[in-house]
Amino acid sequence: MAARRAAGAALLLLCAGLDAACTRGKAEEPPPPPQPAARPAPAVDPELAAWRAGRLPPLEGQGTPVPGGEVVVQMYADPPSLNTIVDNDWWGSRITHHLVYQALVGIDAYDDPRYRFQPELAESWTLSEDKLTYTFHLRKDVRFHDGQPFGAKDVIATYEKVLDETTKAAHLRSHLEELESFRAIDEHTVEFVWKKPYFMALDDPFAQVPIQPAHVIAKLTGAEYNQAATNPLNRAPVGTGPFAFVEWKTDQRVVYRRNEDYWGRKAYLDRLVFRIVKDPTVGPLLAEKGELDVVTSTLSEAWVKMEERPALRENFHRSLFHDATYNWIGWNLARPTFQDRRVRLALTMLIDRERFRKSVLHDLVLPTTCHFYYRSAACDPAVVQPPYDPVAAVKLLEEAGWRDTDGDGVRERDGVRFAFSFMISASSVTTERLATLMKESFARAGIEMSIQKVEWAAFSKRLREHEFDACTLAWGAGPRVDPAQVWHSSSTEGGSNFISFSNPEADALIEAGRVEFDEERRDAIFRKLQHLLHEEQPYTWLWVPARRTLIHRRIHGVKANLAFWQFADWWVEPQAEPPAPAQE
Amino acid sequence: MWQYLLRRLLLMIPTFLGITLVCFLVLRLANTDPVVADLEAGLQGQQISQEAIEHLRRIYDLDKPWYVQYARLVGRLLSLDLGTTWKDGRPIAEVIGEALPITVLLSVLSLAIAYLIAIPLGVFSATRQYTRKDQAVTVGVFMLYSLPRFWVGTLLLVFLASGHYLDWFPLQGWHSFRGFEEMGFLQKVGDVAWHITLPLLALTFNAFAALSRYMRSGMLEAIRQDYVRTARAKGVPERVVIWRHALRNSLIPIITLMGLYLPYLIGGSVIVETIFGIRGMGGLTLEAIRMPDYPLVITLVAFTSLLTMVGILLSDILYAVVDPRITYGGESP
Repeated sequence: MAARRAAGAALLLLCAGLDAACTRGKAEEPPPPPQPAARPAPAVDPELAAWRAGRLPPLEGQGTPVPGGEVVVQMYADPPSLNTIVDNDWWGSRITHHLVYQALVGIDAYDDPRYRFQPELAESWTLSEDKLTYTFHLRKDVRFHDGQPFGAKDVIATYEKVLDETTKAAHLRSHLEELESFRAIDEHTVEFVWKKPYFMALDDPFAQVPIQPAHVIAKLTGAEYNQAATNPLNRAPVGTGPFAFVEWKTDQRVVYRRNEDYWGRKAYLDRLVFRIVKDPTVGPLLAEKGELDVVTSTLSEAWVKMEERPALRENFHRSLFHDATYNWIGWNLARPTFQDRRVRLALTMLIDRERFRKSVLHDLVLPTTCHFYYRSAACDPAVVQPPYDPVAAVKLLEEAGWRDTDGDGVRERDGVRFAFSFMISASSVTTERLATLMKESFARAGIEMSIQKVEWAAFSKRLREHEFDACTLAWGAGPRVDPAQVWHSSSTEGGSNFISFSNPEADALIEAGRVEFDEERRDAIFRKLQHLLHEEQPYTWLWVPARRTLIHRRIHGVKANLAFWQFADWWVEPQAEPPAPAQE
Repeated sequence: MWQYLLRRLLLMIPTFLGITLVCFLVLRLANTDPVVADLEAGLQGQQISQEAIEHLRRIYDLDKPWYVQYARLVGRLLSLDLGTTWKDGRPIAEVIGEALPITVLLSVLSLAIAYLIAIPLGVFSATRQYTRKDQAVTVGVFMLYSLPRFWVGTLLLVFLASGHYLDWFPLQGWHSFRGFEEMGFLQKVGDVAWHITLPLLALTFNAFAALSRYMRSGMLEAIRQDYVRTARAKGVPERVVIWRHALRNSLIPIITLMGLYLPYLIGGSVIVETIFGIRGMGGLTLEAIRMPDYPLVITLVAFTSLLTMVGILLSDILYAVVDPRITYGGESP
């Protein structure tokens, strides 16, 4: 399976596909034909150059926002429900969080790459001296979309549902395991006490839990809360956000309207429509016909060819954005073959990553060497990937004792042949092409690699049981990430440290970072971790995949960022007609 | 006749149980844990607590032995309370109710068109056996038959709907995305007809191939019969011989097939639905099996197998209707 559901913005997830956005149900990319490495030089026209590069025009100086209009956004899967407390769905959270639902704490979407917290339902909060007690002062002027006032009771009811062992909220509960207690101090104040200080405490626990109305959910049992048949919120969310839910037609559309009663600055758009279009080839076609304003998923091949479609060029902005996601190849360090750092480095240097990026992925992705959001201060841009250098790689292998002594074309050490299998997820075409490239390149260096295609269910099972030699996958995250889940030695069992990476120095850095509340000092610690990981090469870092979006030119106020799109800030030109309904 | 019917109907009960049981066991053998699949949604590097898993198992009855699970699933079916899906917890009747109408509409139309083309085509071929015309029809039919549906569907979309070549048809859905609810009845009919033309073409372009071959061989057999020779000898015009006398008898095989097509009517086509963005039974079934959503899969299988059995029964009865020589029950022919 190419793609999986992702959780909240700051959560790690895995994608088995290489050049795919991380969502469930996204169609597989067909193998793009090899392209000449060099692209035509950009034209002199800066507007065209920006379009080619996928840069949106700056937000400033785009006129005065006016209310009105409707925008139709492509969504390429029908979410299982719109209640992200019970369904940890990528689209479900993209189209509800901070749009229909709000959390105690918001994230400033325009603050790239920091994405600092900002008040949302809590107008302010304090953290106690011992970094354990958060006290949130709630806004007093907030009403739910059904007119009921918002208060501490709603916060309490929501967190009770999350922590109720009988609800399907396990994905959120895992972030609240260290929560000691929470209570309402008065009608507009709530207090959360943690067992240990933790730098991520504001992210998933408070910025990603949608606050739901107590008058709807408090009376439901856990089992009733899970089911759409008994919990109306699963199909029809009632929140406090700038948009209010109107209708959801399965596999067709989800429709929102502007919340006229919103406590903050009201949204400009009258209506926001998410249209479900699953086939990735159809999105741009619908856009050309005026039936879609925002195409959220385009194949990289179609992206390149789009320059030949004047209708798209005239009517649409292109946005190429690189999320906090990266693809990697992991070497299972529990296998004796991969325990030598020189061997891992040699393997990296035998893979021509740049050629693959340019030819197969159309040069739309970015090389990276960092576990964190590539633009964040936790990544040191001075660290670059080891070069593609087969000669140096062979030297490293010889140094590590791998020599072909019996002349069969495969190196051996202490009588053991250098042969291993590379586990890939069965449905990703791009991954298969990468595997083929690796196999050929390794064979020339005297390493025998077999490709093992495995269905996703089996793939994830074998990852957790460490039953593989090497594998490839993607990590997705938000602006802040806790590296412990992937890199701490204790995460080998029960965490996501599938390759059994264990390094006391790394463990110490991770532990220090987790309790460091000063961002700059924490970034410095994480940069050290990056240097260490780069030195050790337990992964071969590949690239940051691209999000390729088309946005109609009549829409203004658009800025690409990690937090999806800020639809409440979008507005459309009043004189511009909405795209004409397909002619009858 | 009635006795025969009753016997056949009673026989359906063990058959039905057998089919659902096999389906249930195969689902279990697939070895995908629906609870873990649902909770984990792949693998987000988070640990799902054992309690949460156990709790869901209880909700889904998965903590019970397999025969209890099976008995509860079938018991629910028999009591006509279909329950709710596991995926989104909506009532199964509602979920199927959304997907079924469009699928039935498409497949009934497609089947009707296929018969309307296949019968004359088969007769045409049979009456010109081994001539150039017969061979041309044969080659043509086989060529159509061998074209993959996804390819034809995509071509139709690109050439007739994308606007890159012709812009005659809409790209997606079985009705207009905007303003469908506000349309009058006739407008709605027109809108749906306009939207389903291409999906229908993609469904039907080769559906008549097999049918026309059955028709051809049935006809060939019929025109060699004595009564045809007699009719010809009596000087009955050839047109009447073929279309009145021979045709009636040669219809038997393809009318029998009609009953067998009954389950196909609700099955839907995953490929056509995906290409044309239609939410029908095909996509629903595929999604249900993927999860796997036990209650939904069992319901769909029960539905299909019931229709299959009814279809077989129906075609047996149709035999008797079309061919007076066939009767069921004690009376001698």
